[in-house]
Amino acid sequence: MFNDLNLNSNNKQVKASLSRRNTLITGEIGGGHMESMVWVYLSGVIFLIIALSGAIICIRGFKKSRRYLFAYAAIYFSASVIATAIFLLFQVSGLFSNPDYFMITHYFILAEGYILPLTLVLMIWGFFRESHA
Amino acid sequence: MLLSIYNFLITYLTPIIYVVGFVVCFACYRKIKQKVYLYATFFFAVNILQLWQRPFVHYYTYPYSETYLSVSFYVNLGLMFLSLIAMGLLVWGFYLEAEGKAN
Repeated sequence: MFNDLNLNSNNKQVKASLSRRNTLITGEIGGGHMESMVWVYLSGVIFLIIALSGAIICIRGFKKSRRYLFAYAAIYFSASVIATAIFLLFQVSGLFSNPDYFMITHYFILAEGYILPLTLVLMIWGFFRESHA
Repeated sequence: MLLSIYNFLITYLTPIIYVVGFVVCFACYRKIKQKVYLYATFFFAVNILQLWQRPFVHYYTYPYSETYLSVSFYVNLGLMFLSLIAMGLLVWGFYLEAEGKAN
């Protein structure tokens, strides 16, 4: 579908699509734009710190005990760290609202939407395996 | 056939994973009374709650429902804080496991 679009800033279809997508990403309607952006950054940074500490704890736990649950959880937390870091980077640099980078941000969101649930599946598998060992 | 499987996965993959995670972790917690399973159950429950908006996502397109948008903003804000707490608890659970203080 996106290959049919002429990716320039005058394209109304692209503009409407970007606007709707940014609304979904940042939730800017309903609160003031500045207000919601502060929440997006704040929650992103807090999430990044929590996920990073989770990754470190789980890697250390795996090194210590060699339990696969820690390895799978470390994969999930590491993927979360990478995804959140890229998301924040895109937000700060304004790429989400730039039509020239529409495809890059679009594929990033798609990849994030598939990779994070799959790493979550690994973690669930780790929980299941541990409890049935 | 393949396209319908693909569409099914796109729409339902994440909710299915969250529900499976919730059920698995809750069942594991009932079996082995360890805190990390309880925190993981809470984590998946919050993730399921965050999907509440999916059936109403068409309100974001024209015609806008201003009431819905302002209500959903604050509900999402609350759920966002709840998800941060859930994630923190999950990490805390893993810390307890790693340090051998789980019970």
